[in-house]
Amino acid sequence: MPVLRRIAEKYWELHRRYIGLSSLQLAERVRLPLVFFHIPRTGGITFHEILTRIAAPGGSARHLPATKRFAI
Amino acid sequence: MIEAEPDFFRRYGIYSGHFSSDIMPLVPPGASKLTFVRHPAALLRSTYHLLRNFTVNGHDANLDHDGKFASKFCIANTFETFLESSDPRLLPYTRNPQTRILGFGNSYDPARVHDPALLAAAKERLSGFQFVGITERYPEALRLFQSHYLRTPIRRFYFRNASPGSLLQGASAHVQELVVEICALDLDLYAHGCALFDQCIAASEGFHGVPAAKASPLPRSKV
Repeated sequence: MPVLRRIAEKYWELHRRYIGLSSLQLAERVRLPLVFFHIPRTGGITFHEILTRIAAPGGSARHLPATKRFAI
Repeated sequence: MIEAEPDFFRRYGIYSGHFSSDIMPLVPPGASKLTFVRHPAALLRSTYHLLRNFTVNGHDANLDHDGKFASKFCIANTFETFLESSDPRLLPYTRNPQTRILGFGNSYDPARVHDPALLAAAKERLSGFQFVGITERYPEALRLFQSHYLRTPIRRFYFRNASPGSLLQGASAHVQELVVEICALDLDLYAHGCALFDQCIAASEGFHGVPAAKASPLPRSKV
């Protein structure tokens, strides 16, 4: 469990630093958050940008860099 | 971390990143989990070009030691050689990467990259996702996402995938054989993802009434 906890802490630390998307335009039925698991090289950057626009029209958010995935 | 901040998941509506299944136990029950899967042949070719471009474009400082090796290897060798290589520094990129990420997270265990139990775990997790998009069917995937999650449709988006389908076209018989050999689990996972995607479309009321978003070329300032 400590290993999982460390991984989780690392994720959320990166997450907090890079990703903060408030949700403004989600349908009413979405009461709980959306969590997008971006598998590298699957077109997720495009989808991430769409999510960013949904969350904050005209805004932007930095994406977790792909190179971090083996460093965690 | 989550215990220390019980309201963390109340703060935002959307979370996005290179999460793997390690994080799954921390996602609150009822949250919508979304992902995309891609045909392994296209994903491997995309990875090959990405690694090459890191050095070509002078961004290799962002890579760790093994990443720098992989980048230089891709510049010096063909795509086929990249797939054939059994160098342990390249295997995380070329052996069932999608199954690995969904199956046991970001930790890399070379002894398990072809383990059928890993595939079973990845399939089970994928089945638990509320949305599984298929990269090769991007416009349809966006319509499906809109029909489930958005109040208003997306009209336009910048498509960052230079060649979503064409990476599959023109693959030599040798490359196809290699992909079957080194990414058999990913091929199976991809077929499972496609089946889930089709099921989701079949079960979606109003899907066919959702207008398709139009892809725009990336503005110069963003290239």
